[in-house]
Amino acid sequence: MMLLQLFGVLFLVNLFTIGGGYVMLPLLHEFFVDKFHWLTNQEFLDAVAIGQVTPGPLTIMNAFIGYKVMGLAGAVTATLGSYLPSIIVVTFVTKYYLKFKESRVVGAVFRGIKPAVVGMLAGVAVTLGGASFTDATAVCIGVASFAVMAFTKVDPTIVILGAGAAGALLM
Amino acid sequence: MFLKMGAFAFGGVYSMLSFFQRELVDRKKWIAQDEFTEGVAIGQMTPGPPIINTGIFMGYRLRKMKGALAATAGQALPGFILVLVLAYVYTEFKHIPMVGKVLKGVGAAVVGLLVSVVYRMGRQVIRGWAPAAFAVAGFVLLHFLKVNAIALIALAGLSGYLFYGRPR
Repeated sequence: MMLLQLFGVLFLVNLFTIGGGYVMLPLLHEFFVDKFHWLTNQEFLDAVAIGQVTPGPLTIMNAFIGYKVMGLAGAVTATLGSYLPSIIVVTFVTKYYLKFKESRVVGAVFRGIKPAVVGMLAGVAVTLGGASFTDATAVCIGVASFAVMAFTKVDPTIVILGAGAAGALLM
Repeated sequence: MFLKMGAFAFGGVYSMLSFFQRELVDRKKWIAQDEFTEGVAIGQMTPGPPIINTGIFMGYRLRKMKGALAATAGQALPGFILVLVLAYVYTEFKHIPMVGKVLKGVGAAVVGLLVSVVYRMGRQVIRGWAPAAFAVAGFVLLHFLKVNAIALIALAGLSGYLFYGRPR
């Protein structure tokens, strides 16, 4: 039953998140942390970190969530649920690409969704910041990570590993 | 072939794109340059991770459904295996105080990372008052009014259509 729920949520979330990666975070957070209480805010952050340091898209964090909640079966279910929408939609769109490309409707819909997602992601960042910034050291690490990621081209993996080391030494 | 690609993706999405380009377009000549560009565009406008979708597109062009499935599996597998290992280590060791400290540091960095994503996406997307209003609405409705996130995306798409999509 939980497996089915996991599959359904991830299928739905991935169907609705065009652009992938960070766009899905507000939706995942809502389901797994707020609604089902399968993860705490800290565990959600751990999942994002693991998705970030492993090769391939951030979506792989869903396999981690699946594993965390239901072991190996959960990981497999989560991965299938995450990639199935891609396979279905891409093979469909590839067939009808030209029609799709010229559609003004699609363009207009995206012009609405993109900025809204930026705002939603900001909302999730505030929630998670509230859970994570429990002392001055954590705030410093967060601010440093923001500065490096926003203004330099350093790979996120390096930032995350560095923050882990900083945590071990300073916290 | 696609397995090699997945491992290569360690360097992030952009190294992956240049890898596709070199391997499939320049060296093997399986895919023409303009088809490649088309694949990248499709990857960005379909649900799910763009790079996976571009891979599925190429796989489908080359071998139809079989190619699409092989592309997904090849791209997802290396990361999947590594995540399993990490997830196992995580659940076994997370209660050791030292690991807890590492994770606290990592968590704080991820928050910073998310804010930087908001900043970068915002600079790219929010130009003028209308997108700014969409962003503020998204923030307020999700964060304070706790509106369902999927409903919000659907609502934003609908408003985008009504606002930008009508013939002039």
